[in-house]
Parts: sequence; structure tokens; C-alpha cells
Amino acid sequence: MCACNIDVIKLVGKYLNISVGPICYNSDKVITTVLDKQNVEGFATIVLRLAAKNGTSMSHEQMLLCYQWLEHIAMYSNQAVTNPIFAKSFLQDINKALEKNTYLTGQHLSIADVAAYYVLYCLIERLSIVEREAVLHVCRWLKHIQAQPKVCASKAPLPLNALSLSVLAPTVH
Amino acid sequence: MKIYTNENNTSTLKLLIAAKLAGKTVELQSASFEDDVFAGPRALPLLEVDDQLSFFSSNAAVQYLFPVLDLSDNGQCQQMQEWEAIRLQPAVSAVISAKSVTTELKQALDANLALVDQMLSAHKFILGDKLSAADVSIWSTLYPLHYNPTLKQQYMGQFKHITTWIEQLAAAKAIQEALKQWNGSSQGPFATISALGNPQVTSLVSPVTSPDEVSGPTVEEIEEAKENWLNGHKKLQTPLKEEKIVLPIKGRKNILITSALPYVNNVPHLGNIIGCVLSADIFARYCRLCDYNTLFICGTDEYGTATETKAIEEGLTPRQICDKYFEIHNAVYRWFNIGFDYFGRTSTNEQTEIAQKMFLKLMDNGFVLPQSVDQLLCEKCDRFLADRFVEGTCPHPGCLYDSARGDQCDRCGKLINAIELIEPRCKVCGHKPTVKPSEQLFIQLNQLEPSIRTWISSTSNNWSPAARGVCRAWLREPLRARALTRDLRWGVPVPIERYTHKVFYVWFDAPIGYLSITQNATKQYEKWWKPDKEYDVKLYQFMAKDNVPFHTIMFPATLIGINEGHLLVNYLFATEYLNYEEGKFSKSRGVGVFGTDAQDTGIPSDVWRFYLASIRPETSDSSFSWAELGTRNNSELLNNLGNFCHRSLSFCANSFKGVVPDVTPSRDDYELIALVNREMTSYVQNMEKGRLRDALKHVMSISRLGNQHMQSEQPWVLLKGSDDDKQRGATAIGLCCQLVALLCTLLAPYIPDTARKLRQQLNVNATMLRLNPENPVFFQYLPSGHVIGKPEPLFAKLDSDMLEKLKAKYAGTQNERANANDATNKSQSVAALEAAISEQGEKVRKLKASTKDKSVWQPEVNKLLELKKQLTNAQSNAHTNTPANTSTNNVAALEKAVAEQGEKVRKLKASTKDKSVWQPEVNKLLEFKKQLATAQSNVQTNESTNASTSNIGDLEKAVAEQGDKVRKLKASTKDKTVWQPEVKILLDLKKQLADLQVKN
Repeated sequence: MCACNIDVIKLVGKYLNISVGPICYNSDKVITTVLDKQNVEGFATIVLRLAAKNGTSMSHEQMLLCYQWLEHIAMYSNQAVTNPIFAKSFLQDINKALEKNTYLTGQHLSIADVAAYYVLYCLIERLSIVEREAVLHVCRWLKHIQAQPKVCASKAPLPLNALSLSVLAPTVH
Repeated sequence: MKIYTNENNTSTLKLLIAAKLAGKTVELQSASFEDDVFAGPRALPLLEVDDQLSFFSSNAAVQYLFPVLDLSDNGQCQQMQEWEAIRLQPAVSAVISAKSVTTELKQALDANLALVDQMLSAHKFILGDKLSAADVSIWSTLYPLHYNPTLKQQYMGQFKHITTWIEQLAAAKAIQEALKQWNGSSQGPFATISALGNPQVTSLVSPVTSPDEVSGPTVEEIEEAKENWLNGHKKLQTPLKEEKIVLPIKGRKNILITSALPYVNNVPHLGNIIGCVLSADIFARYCRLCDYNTLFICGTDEYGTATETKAIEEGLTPRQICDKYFEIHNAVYRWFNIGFDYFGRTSTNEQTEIAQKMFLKLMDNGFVLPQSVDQLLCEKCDRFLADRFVEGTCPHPGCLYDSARGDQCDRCGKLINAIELIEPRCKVCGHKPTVKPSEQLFIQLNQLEPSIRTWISSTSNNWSPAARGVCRAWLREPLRARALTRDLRWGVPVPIERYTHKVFYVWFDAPIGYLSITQNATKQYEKWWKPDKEYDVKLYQFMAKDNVPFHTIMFPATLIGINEGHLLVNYLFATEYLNYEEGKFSKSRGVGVFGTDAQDTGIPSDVWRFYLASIRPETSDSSFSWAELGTRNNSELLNNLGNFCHRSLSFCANSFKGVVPDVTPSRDDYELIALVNREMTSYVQNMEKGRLRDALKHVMSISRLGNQHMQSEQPWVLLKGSDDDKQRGATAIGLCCQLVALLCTLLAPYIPDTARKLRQQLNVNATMLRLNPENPVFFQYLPSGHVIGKPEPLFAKLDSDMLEKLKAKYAGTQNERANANDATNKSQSVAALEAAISEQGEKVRKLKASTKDKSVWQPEVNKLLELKKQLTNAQSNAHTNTPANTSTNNVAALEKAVAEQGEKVRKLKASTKDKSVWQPEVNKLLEFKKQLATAQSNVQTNESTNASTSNIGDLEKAVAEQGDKVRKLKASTKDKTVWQPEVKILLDLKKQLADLQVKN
């Protein structure tokens, strides 16, 4: 199962081609690592720090948009993984956001999309086709993300029905 | 800018404070989660900057409104805000909205507050000397805790620094203005921040993790792994000295293991094997691995009616039957590598002695009383019928199974009193028996019931769920007196007058077998069965669940009644049933795979052991399937375990000349070691609770971890790299070899043969591969500089075709299999059938002549037709056999047959024009001719090959001669036209020769 756990951070690290450091949970069960000899704690913080370390430059606004998505996922994804009914509303909200936007933070791919992809992967994977149709925009977004070879290098793309997606949920821009 | 918010939301307070601090104006607009204002997650407050930009996260909004200007902060502010969002806020909102607060929740909140307090003890603000967005977020979230007097008293009392900080900030003008605009109340109720509800308090739920990697190891686990990796071997217990006769030892754990005594009159099937002896053996081997002083005994249960029945069936004496089947059992278990300390039998003098002694004691204590019983007497056979000698309809309403046995119904499983059977019949003669009284001795279970119940409630926590379930079901009704004796000959005689012609009931006598077999094994059974208080002796019993009542109620009742301090079962590990390909294994009907069959398949016993252990019916019934046997072998043993061991050792042998490289573990390596330790802990826990199947899963996980490690480290690449890389490669190989040694240790109970082979390959002995159950950790099993032996593959692939064949072979019952063989035998005797047909034909003719009543002769005609059908089958079989022989052997015979058949056809054609008469003969003729043709062509090819071999010699000679001729001609003339033809001939000859040589 993916949630905001070590696996996802490692996958993000692989995507950015950067070491994630000695990642583990601290005694308070907060995901923690050491980057540049500094303790870095929290899912969103680690992901953003890894992106910054990799040289990704972002405007303040862009960074805040990334942060709010990562924070949102960190707050609720564990519950979504363990509770399929909760997962439905969780995904509905994200679906809504992707109705008007190509990516979570707007019209450009950000690190928040990549991290979210690895988290949402298994939530979508376990849905039936009918259930997937209820979150078509998420599926379309998922397909966009996994079209990047770097994303799929460490995780096989999720098979999604391409035809109905392009018709029912066309890309926004 | 607009803020959408619901009522009394502390997160909205964050935004207002941030706006005031930054001197920005914001407008509040009331909203609810149902409103259509959300372009994404339904969270409030929602900050709408413009129609392009909005923030649904209050923390992001705070940062937007009140940005961090100091860039040296390195994301500290964000980190604290995230912590606020996923730790502090959920805990605070859980506390302020809960009706009652659990201790865990209070602790979680306390821990969070303590952290904040500690930060504020060193600095004025959260992140140092400057006010930041983190202060704003945390201040707002803590607002209710501080300003609600009840909450403040309950939670904030000890956090002085927080109190000072809150009050200091509250004095600021910006905050006062913000509070005014917010217009909320510290008394609550407070709004939720999201339509998804408040986030879970993470420290109270276990993190969600992937199946392979349960949340990575914690720092503590890694430290522990490191310590144990370096020093674990010093914590191993001192090895146990091997004694010829195993007796309890003071100061050691003494484990007495029994497996249910298999009934002697049949061959055990796989269900019996995994239920009792194999489970017990795996456990016993595990105990020896941990240096527990272990005695593992078993034996055949030989007394009772079933043996007598079998003896009558096979025309032998009961003793001969026992001797015969004891050997079969013994051989089957030996093949399965069941390492009994002693495999005995119950028909010994020790058994008689101990059983009689115990019985007399029980009688002295007043728990045995005589009672007259109505029994079934078969007048035809002139004897009282034992339960198993009588069959009839099950008397239990709702079942009414028509071939229930006299003691138990096979369909509903309920126990039956033989005289209650509806329509009883003697199993030997089929005669209906009559009811006659006979005096028997009864054990008064009702008197013993209170002590039994007390004992069970004190000990049954240690039993497997199946055992507890069966036992509980039995205790729903009060216990009744139960007969101890019966009218039989084959058993332990009752040692009191008037009863000497009776023997003990087998349920009483069989469990005493454990004692007598221990006596045979050690000569001092009382050391085990009546242990001194200073000795720590525990009794572990393995069985299938049908045996549970006898081991939890009857036998303990006997021992309690005797009251001499006998050992009662401490751990009872009963299994559910194993099914055979969705049907039932059945000894009596012969369905399934039997011990001897397993041996015939050619599949190694370790594979059987592994597969049976991995489907052990621990919590519910499970099924044996041939296909699954193959899959488990191929995917688990071969691809997972075998592959890992062979690869690791081969690398060591090829790249390091067999010297196991020293391991200098990195942090990642310790992480792996910590994960392995987790699996080992689970392995030991499961083993100690008799959950052998689960324990095995954890071992296989270790092998999987090993494979993953090998795959991610890629030592084959590293070994070609820089010095640093080489070092890492060597560590990877060293670690993998150590893992192989660990796997060899942990798997030894399951697959002892393979473990022995692997020990040879590792070049270690069994004493090096032990386990400390108190501290099950992965340490360096192979000492520095250890040289391994020659690595070899451990397992072979099982082919699905072969398994399909085996499945077909063992389908149906044993009888059906035997009949199938008989049928083929019968069909071969064409002559016999022909004779039978002519006889039957004669009979039918006579009958038809004598009467016109069809009902009289029809059955005979049917018989005749059936016989004819068999004959045609037999003939067609014969046909397919004979031509194959004749064609190769004698063409002459076929020629003769053709000639004869031709003659026959000619005559037939001459005598009649009815095509249906001669056509079959013509067909036969054509068939013969065809066979002849094939035979002849076969012979010809044979001959031609013969001819050609002899021709090689001639050709060589010809080539030599022709060669000479050409040379001479060439010498004599230069005229090409003269010698060219001869050269051509020579080349032709050479070509022929070459062709022939190739052919041969």
C-alpha cells in the first residue's frame, strides 16, 4: 500500500535522481530523514526539500501551491488507504480540482503531482472501472503523469482505458 | 481578498492574524461545505486571492499573507507548519470536540505541547527571535486550550513557556484586531476544517505501509540491529549436550512433545501427516534448534475393534495385522523425515502394566462404577457387537445418514450410542442384532467435571483456536459417565475379577500409550509424566481436531481422577481438516494421497513437508492441490529460496574463492538487518504458539528481503567498479551469505534434508546454526574468514504436465484405482470372454425356446450383450497390441494372415450377398494388408541400411581403384578428354561414399 510513507519518498527520490538520505520514522512516527546534515521532518517538507536540492526553482506562490497539496495528502491519505469509503470523498475533492486544471497546481507539472501520483496510485488501482469513472479527471491526470518515462522507471504504469478518457475527460488546455 | 469560513473556525483566526500582521485587508464571507465555492478540496477557511489563485490550506494561506522574508530559514517555518497540520491540529481538535478523552489521546497532545514548550524555553518565538508564520498557526490552534478555563486547567497547566508566549502575543495589536474580526468564542463549539473531517491523530494509528516494507525500521530498531549484529552470537545459550536417553534436566526448558497416535489399521494420508506427526516434528526440530531439552514420542495405536475388523478382512490375527501396519507407518514416517526420539506401539507389556495400574488407582479413588448396558448381540456371529461392527441410520434428527457407524456418524460428526441406531445391522454378516444387557465399568465424568472445568479455564489460552473451539462445544452439555470397558478380546485385559474377559475401551487405553511409549523410550517415564516441582516440564500435544475431546476432557479427567500429579497438557495444537482437491481425504474410503503414494511420486520429501506446512489447516480447513504443490515448489522454493541461496554462495565461490567476505554494514545494511530481525521475532512468536504456517511465511519473507537486497545492490556491477564499490560489493555478498546461513537455521525444522545439504555447502555444522528464542536476532553466523563448500542448486522444477498426470493418477478412491487395473487385466483374456459368450448365448437360446415371457430372458440377453461389448473392447485392445509386434517381427505371419483372411472373405462373398456380413471381414483384410505393407517397408529400410553399411567397404575399394586409374591416365597423357570421364567417375564414387558415411 502506498500512503505518505517511506516508499513514496524513495520513489520521489528516484524520480529526481537524488539520494533521500537515511529515511525512517522518528519516535513520534513522523517520517524523517537527514539532508545536508539537517534533520528534515514531514512528508511535504521532505518532498519540497528534495525538489529544491535537485535544483527545481519555483516561485513563492508556486511553492505554496505545492505545499498545500502535499500537506493535504499527508493529512488524509493514510485514512484513505485504510478506508475505501473515505477514499471516495478524498478522491472526489481531487477530481474536482483537476476538472479545471491540467495538474494539481495549475497548468504545469510540479513535484506535488509526482508525489501525489505515487500516493494515489494504489487508491486508483483498487477501484473498479465504474468507480474510476466517477473520478475520471484523476484518471486522466494519472495518465498524464505516468506518460513520463521517469515516473514509470520505478513503478509500472497503471493500465487505464485510454479511449474513454480522451473523450470523456479531455485535457483542459 | 476574501476568506470563506464557517463559524468559530480557529484556522480562520490564523489567516486573519497573518493579514493584520502584514497590513492586508481581507473580507470574511460565511460559507459551508455544501456551498459551491470550492475548486478543489472542501476545506475551510478558503482564501480567495483572485479568481485564478486560492488556498484551501490555512497554513499555505498564512505563508502567503505573511511570507517568510528570511531565506536562511531553510524551510524550518514550513516544517513546523506541516507538523502543526498533521500533529498538533488533529490532536487539539480531537480533544476539544471529544466527549471523553482517552489516555492515549491525552498523551499524544501532551507530547506535542511539550515539544512546543521546549522550543519556547530557548527562544522568544517558535523559530528563534523572530515572529513567523509558524507562530501564527500554532498560536491560533492553541487558542481554545488557553482561553477555555476548563481546558487550560486540564491540559496547559505544566507548560509555562507556552502560556507566557500566548499571552505575550495576545497583547499585540494585530492579534487583538484579528480576534475582533474573527468574532469567535473560546468556549466552542468549533468548526471542522474540512468536509473530510478532522485528520486522524497519526500517533494513535499505525502508519499505513506496504506489505513488503512495513514502515521502515525505527532508529531504536536499527541501533539494536547493529548491537546484535556485532555481539549477538555471544548471547547464544550454551548448547545442550546430546544424551542417548533424554530425561528432564534441571534449569532447562524440558519439552515433551507427542503427536496423536495414528490408528494402526491403515496407511496414513497427507491430512494425518500434517495434522499430527509432521507438525509435531517441525515443532520438535524447532525446540532442538533453541536448545530446549526435547523428547518427541509417538507410536501406533493398536488395540480396539478396528484392528479386529481388519484382521477378519485380511484373514490374519490382530497381532499380525499390527506388525504389518506398524512397519508401513514406520517406513512412511521415516521417508517423511519425522525425527521421533522414539516411535513405539501400544500393544506392549509396558502398556498393559501402566494402564492396569492407572485403572486400579482410578477405581480406588472411587471414580469407577459398574453399570449394566444394553448392547447389541449378533446371534448369528454369537458375540456382542462393538460399535464399529455395527452400522445403521443416524438417530440424530436432521441427519438420518443411513450408514452411520456405531460410535460416530460420519455425516454429522455426532457421537452415537450404538443401540440408538435406527435399523442396526451387523457389519460382518448383515444380520439385525438384538439388544442384550452386559455389565461394564464406567468412569464418573460427572464427578470430575468441576475440576476439569477449572483446569481447562486456567490452561486453554495456550491452545490453538481449533482445540479451544471443540473443547468449548463439548462443555456446553454436562459430562456423563463413560464406559471404560467392553466385550472384546484384542486389548488390555481388565485386571479385576468378573471382568477378565473384557478389555479397556480404546479411548481410555490409547492416551496411556504416551506414557508407555515414554517408558519404552526412557525406562523412567515418571520423570517426564510426574515431574518433580523443581523441573520445568511442559507437555505439547499435536493432533487433528477430531482427537481433541479425548485429549482435553477424557484423558485429563482420568489423570485428575488418579490424582498422582501427572503432567496435564499445557499446549494443545490441534489443526482443522485438510481437504483433497476440494473433496475430503478419507482413510476408510481411500480418497486422497497416502503416505506411500507421496513416496512413489518421486517428489522429494522436503518439498512435501514444505508444501504441507504452508497449507497447514491452522485457522480453517485448507485444501491440498497438485497444481498448488507445483506453484509453491517453483515460486517459493526454487525461485525465491533456492535462487537466493545458490546465487549468494556462487558469488562467494566464484568471486572470493569461497572465503566469505567481511561485512562492513552501512546504514542501509543495518536497516535490512533490522527488518530481518522483525521477521525473526515474528517467526519465534508464531512458532512458540504452534502457528507453524505463519512462522514459515516469515522465513520466506527473509529470503525475499535477501533477494531484494541482492537485486538493489547489484554486486556483479559493484565488483567491477572503484575500490569503494568493490568494498560495497563484498559487503553485499558477505551479508547475503550470512543470510543464507540464517535461512538454513530457520528452515531446518521444515526441510531438514535441504538444510543438511545447505550446511554442507556452507561448510558448517548444526551446532553453529542455532537460535536464541529469548533474543531472536540476525548476527554473523559465519565467522570471519570462513570458507564455504561447493554451491549446488537445492531444488528442481516441478513440471505442470507431470503434476496433471499425478492428479489423474490419484483421482477417485483407492478401490477405483485398483478396479481400473483389474479391468485392463480382464479385458486381455479374449478367450475367456468368448467362452463366456458362447455359454451365455446357449442359455439365452434355451430360455427363449422355453418361454415367451420377455421379463424372464431379457436380463440374460442384457448380460450377453454386455459380454459381447467387453469382447469387442478386448479385441480392439488385442488388435492394437498384435500388429505392433508382428510388423516388426515377422512379415511372414502377416502374409499368412492376409492369405487366410482373403480366403475367408472369398468364401463369405460366395455364400451370401449380405454386405453387412462380409464387410467387417473385408475391413479386417484391408487392415492386415496395410499392416503388411508397413511391416515390409520397415524391413526394407532395415535391409537397405544393412546393405549400405556393407557397401561402404566396396565403395572405398572402388574409389581407391578408380583413383589409381586416374593417376595413371594423367601421367600418361595431358589430353583432358581422355582422363576427364574417369575423373568424373571417381568424383561420383567419392560422393556416394560420403553420402553413405553421413547416413551411418
